[in-house]
Amino acid sequence: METIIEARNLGKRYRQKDAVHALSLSLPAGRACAFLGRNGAGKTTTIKMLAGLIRPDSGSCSLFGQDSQHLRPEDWQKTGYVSENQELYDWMTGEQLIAFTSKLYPSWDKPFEKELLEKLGIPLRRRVSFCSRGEKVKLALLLAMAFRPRLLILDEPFAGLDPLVRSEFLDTVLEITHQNDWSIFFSTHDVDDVEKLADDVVIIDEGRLQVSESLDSLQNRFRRIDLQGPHEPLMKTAAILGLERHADHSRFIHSAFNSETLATLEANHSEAHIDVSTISLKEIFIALAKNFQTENPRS
Amino acid sequence: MNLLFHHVCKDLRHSRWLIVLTWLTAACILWLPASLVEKRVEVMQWLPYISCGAWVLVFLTAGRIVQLDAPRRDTAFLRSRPFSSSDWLASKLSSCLILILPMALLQVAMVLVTGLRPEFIDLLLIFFEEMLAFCVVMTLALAIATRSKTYSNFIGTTMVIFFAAYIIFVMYMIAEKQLARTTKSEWSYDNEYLKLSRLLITQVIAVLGLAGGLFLCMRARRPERLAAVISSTVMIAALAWFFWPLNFVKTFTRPEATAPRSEWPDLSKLKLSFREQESWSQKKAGSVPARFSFSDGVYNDTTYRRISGHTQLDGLPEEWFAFPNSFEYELSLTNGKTFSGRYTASAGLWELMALPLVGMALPWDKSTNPLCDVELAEFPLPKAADAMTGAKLRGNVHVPFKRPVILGRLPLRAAASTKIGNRHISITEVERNDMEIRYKLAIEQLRVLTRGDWYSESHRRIEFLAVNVAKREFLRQGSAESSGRSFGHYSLQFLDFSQTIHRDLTKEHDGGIIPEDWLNGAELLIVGDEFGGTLSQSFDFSEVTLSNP
Repeated sequence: METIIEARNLGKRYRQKDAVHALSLSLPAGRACAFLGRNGAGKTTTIKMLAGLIRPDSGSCSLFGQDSQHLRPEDWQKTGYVSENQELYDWMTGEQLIAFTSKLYPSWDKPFEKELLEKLGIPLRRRVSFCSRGEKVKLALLLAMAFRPRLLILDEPFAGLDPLVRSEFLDTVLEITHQNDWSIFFSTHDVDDVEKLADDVVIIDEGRLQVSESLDSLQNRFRRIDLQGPHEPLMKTAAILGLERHADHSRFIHSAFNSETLATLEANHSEAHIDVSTISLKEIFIALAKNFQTENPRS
Repeated sequence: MNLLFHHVCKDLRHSRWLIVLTWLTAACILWLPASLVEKRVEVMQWLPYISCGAWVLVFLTAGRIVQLDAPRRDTAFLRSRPFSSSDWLASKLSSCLILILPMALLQVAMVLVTGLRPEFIDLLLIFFEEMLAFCVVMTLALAIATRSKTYSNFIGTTMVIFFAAYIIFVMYMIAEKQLARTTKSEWSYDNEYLKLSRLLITQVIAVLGLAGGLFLCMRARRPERLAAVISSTVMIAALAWFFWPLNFVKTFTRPEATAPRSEWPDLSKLKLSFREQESWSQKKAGSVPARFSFSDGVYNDTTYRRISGHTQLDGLPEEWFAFPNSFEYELSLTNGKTFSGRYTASAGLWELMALPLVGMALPWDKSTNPLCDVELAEFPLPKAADAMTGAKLRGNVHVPFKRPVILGRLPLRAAASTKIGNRHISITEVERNDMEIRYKLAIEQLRVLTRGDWYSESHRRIEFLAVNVAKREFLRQGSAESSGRSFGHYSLQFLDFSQTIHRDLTKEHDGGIIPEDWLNGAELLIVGDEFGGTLSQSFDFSEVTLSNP
C-alpha cells in the first residue's frame, strides 16, 4: 500500500524545550489518522513539519514520497490543508476567495464546489473578515477539498466551533472522504469526533510518540475492569491505568487486555466478581493522558 | 504566466489604497511643471518632502505586498497552496515593479512637462536612473519583508535596521572627523566624476545582487535566501558608495566643447619661460625683481600659501587664451620637510574674451604676453620655526588653451529664450534706468546623473555678456545675484544682473547716463569656450623664498 505521509525521527526544539522528539509515523493511502495529544504536546508543530511549513531540527518527513521541505506545486495539488490559525485573504469575499483559489488547481471540481457550498452553507457575498469563525473554517474546508485532494491535513479544525457547526463539518468530511477514499491526517481535542472519522490513532505527549495503531486495535486492547468482593491488592503494572480501590471494590483500565488477561485475573481473584466492559476512545485518551501526566509531570 | 498575472492582480488588489496613495504622492511632483517658471522655486521647496514621503510609501507598500504571503509566515494562505517559490518571488517582484513603474514614469513626465525638450536618450536615462533608485528601495523592503513573520515585525525590523544604520553612520562621521587628515585634500573636478562612478557602481552592484538572489532563489526554492543575498548586496553597495576607487565615468563623457584638432595651436611653436618681474616691496619702498608672487587662503584652520610664477608665453595665436593652469609640485624646505600635491584647474574663460568675436576690442592689451603668471604650488604655511628661504620647488605646470565661442545671441528683452545644450535660458525681465540696466535670466536645466550634467564641467561653463555692437558698448560691473533650486532631474536658476555700461577702450571711463535707446539693438551673448590642447612644462627652482620680497 502506498504511504502518503512518512516521518522518521522527527525532532524540533524551541529554545531549550523539545517540542517534538524522535517522532516516527506513517499514513497509508486511504486511511484516516487522528493525531491526539494534550495541549502543547507538539501536534501542531508536527503537522507543520509534515506539511513543510516549518523546518525540523532533525529527522525527515515526506508527503507522497517527496521531502516535505521541498514540496512541489504538484504535491500541493494533491494535498488539502486546514489549520485553526490558517490565514485567509480576509479582504476578499467568499466568492472572490473561491474564484482566486480555484485557479491554482487544475483539478478544481466546480460541481463538487457547488455541492460543498450547499452542504456547508457558506456566505459568498460577505467579506471574509466579517464571517464568523465557523464560517471561516467551513470556507477553509471548501478551499481544501474542492480540488479533490488525495490527502487532507486538518490541524484542529473543530476548535472553537459550536456543536452544530462541528457536527455539520464532521458529517461533510466523513461523507466525502468515505466516498472518495481520501487519506486524512487530523489533530483534534475532541476525541468523540475521532471515533466517527478515524481508522488509526496516533497519540503524542511531550513531543514523544506514545500510541500509534488502528482505532479498532486500540479499542480492543483497552478494557475497564471492576473487581467486587474480597480480593488481594492488585500489583501495579504498566498495563494497569487509573487504579482506584474503595473497600472491596477495585476499578482500573487495562491497556493490554486479551483472553489471557481475564483468565489470569479470575485465577488470582477467585472470590471477587470481575466485570469487564469496553470503553470509549475518550476514556482511553483520558486514562492515557493521566498516566502520562503522572509519569511526566509538567513544570 | 496566467497564474503569475493572477497573483499580481491579487497583490495589487490587496494593497490598492496604499498603492494609489503612493502614486498620488509621487504625482504631486507634477505640481512643479504645472506652476509658472517664477513660482517653481517656491514649489520646489516642498518637493524633497513629497519625494521622501513617496520613497517611504514605496518601502511600506512593497513590504506590505511581500508580507501578504511571506514565506517565513507558516500561517500564510499561499504557503499550503500549489505555487512555487520562484513563481512567488516573480509575482512579488512584478507587483513591486508595477508599483514603482509609474513613479519613474512620473519623473519622466515631469521633465517633459517642464518644456525642456529633452532628447529621447535623456528620457531613457532618467527613467532608468529613477527605476534603479526605486529598485534599491523596493529590494530592501523585499529583503526585510521576506524574513519577517508579520507586517509589524517588518516595520520593527526596518526601524531597528535604520536606527542601527544611523548609529553606524554617525559613528563613521565622528571617526572620519577624528581621523581625517587636516591637510587640504587635493581637489580635482575628476573627484566629481569619481562620485558619479561610485553612484553608478553602487547601482550596478544592487542590480547584480538582485539577479544573483533571484538565481539562488530559483535554484534553492527558498525565497528567504534572497534576503541574505540582498542584505549582502546592500552592504557591498554601501562600501562601494564610500570607497570605490576607480573613476571610470570620465572615459565615457563626450569631449564636448573641444575645438577641431586642426585648429588647435601648434604647441611646438609655443614658448613658455619663467622670468623675473618687477615687484613692489613694502620694506624697501621700491620695486625689486621677483620670480614669484604669493597669496594665502585658510582651509580647516590651516593657512595655505599659493605660489605663482611669473611667465612669458610667446607664439600663442590671437584667438587663443591660456587660463587657468593645473600643476603638480614638490616643495622641499631646508629643514627636510617636504610638501607635494596636485591641482587640476577647472575654471572657464572670462566672458569679455568673446568681445573680439563680435568685432569689439578687448578691454586690455593681450598681444604682449598672454600668460603673465602660472600657479605652481599650494602648501600649508610652514611654522615660524621652519626656514622660509632656500627651499627647492619643482614640478610640472599644465596650461590649457581655450578660445571663446558664442553659443547663443538673444535680443536683450523680456521673453526672449534659447536652448544651449541641456539648458533652457530665458530672459524674464529687462529694466533700464539712467544709471543701470537690470535684467533677469531663468536657466532651466535637465539633470541626468549618468551624463554628468549635474556636476561641474569646465568645458561647458557658460557666461553672459550684454552688448550693443552698434554702439560698441557692453554692460559690466554692478551686481549679479543668483538663486535657484534643484529637484530630481530639474534645476532652475535665476540670475539677476544690475549692470552699468562699460564703453570701449577708446572711451575714458565706465558708467555714466544710459541713453534711452541703449536697449535698441542690445544683445545678450551666451559665451562658452572650446579647448585646444595643453602645454605641459616642468620647473625646478632652488633658493626659493616663500614670501613676497
